Amino acid sequence: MYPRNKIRASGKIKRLGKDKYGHGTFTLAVNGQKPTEMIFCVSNNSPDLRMGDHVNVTGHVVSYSYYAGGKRTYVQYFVADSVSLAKTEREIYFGTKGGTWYGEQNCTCYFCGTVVYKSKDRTGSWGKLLIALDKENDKEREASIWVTYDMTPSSRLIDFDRIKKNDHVCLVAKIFSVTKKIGKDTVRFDNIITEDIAFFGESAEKNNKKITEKKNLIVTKHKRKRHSSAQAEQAVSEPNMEQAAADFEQDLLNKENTQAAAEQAAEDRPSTDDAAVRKEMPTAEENGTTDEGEREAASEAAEKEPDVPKADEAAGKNPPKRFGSLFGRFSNREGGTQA
Amino acid sequence: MRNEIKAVGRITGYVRDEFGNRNIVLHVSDKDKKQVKFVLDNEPKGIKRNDFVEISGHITAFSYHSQIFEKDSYVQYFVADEMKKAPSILEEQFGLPGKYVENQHIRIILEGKFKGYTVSKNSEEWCEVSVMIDSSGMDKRPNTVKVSCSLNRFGKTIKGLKKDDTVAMIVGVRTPKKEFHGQPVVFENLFALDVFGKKQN
Repeated sequence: MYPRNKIRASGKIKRLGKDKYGHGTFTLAVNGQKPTEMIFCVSNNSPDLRMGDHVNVTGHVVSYSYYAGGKRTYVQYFVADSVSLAKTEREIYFGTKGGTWYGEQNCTCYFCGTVVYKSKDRTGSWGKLLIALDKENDKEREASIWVTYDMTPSSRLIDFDRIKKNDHVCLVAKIFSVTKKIGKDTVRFDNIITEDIAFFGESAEKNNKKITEKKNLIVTKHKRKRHSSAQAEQAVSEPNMEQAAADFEQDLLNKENTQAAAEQAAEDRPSTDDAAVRKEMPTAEENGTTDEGEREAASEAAEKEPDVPKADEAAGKNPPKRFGSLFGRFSNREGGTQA
Repeated sequence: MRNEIKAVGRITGYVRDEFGNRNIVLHVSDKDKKQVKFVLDNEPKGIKRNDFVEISGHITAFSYHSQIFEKDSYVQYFVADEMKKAPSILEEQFGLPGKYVENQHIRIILEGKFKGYTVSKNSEEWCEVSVMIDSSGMDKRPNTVKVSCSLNRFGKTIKGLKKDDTVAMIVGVRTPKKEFHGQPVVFENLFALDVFGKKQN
């Protein structure tokens, strides 16, 4: 049976007390990669615990939400199911009682459930998943937990966009607590950060099917594009198939885009004759031929000019007829300068 | 007599040391990140770079006279006897392939003859304890391993020991990186996490 909602923690008891509902609680200081404090609720028949004891705790997360004052509030807290005194490393390695070194402390959670909601933060570095945990039987109360998801490129986790609503996932997470001052109050937040995630059951099959389809699509595309079959096979035989497939597809798309852009540019590019003419010819406005008198003079000059042969026009040696008047004016000016 | 190393970490590279031995570089993402080198006796099969591995091995130490530098040098290094892939947490808990391996650590378990201790010149809090351990591995020589101990924590135990008493230690590793002749050098410092002794009858 896989764990649906489980916490395993080891640390030192820092404080014993009661919460506002009268439940017995203890604060566990976990001096792991990042020092964290967790508050666990304990049932009344828990063993005698003392401050400073090193313990191993197994428990679960309880969560619920309520609507009050036009605002939905979400609550989640940790419950300790079993607490046992931790062994020192001397006891573990040598079998002798005593010693003060208890080894590394950590806190890990294991969850399995369905993704109900997902969101991204403003920076795009962190995502959030709301996971409805699997129930063992119908009588069990529903529990949903919020987990934080690292979306940075260096993350080892699967792409956040691949996770869809209603996907069945199982994940391993760490708990890091942060203390913040909000107004005059000091508020403690327990963040559940995802360390590893995988699709489970039907979602995994669906995901694998998608990858296979993608693989077939790439092979077909390669064949259509007349790439070598070895190249296509190499692309799909990478260990990280999905990444390789995505990269390869991106390359193909880039190539296609470059080709399409080149074709488009070739279409849009004016013919050499026109371009040459436009380069040489100033516009009417540039020459200041907007006056009606000048326009008439220009048209008269155009009438006087002999017809230009079409071959010359095509070769760009002589300007086309419609620009004849302007060209005449321009060439006259040039002649004037030379003289 | 015990001389064991247990480590879990990720292989970040294969290198060759100054003696020509083939080493693997293990990155242990513990509370403070460590980079430890292990000499390989046998070439590992089916283990690649970036794989998470479990290593069990031993520690070897010896001193030699360098003819080039004309001075005595003392060397201690780790030897990997067995190496296998470490299962990820998802694999352990759900039977699914995962990428994250929990409980990365390195521990050295020593049990041998106490040979004495020297207080550090820089700090009176620290001393260096010499322990003669069993000759293990290919070379059948006894090894004298030097381990740093905090006198504040274990001073009473260490001062109560006599020469050739049996001492047991659980040792951790720190790997500070320092610049040496313009090049970064990773030191492997051993420090005691727990020390207890047994007087000779």
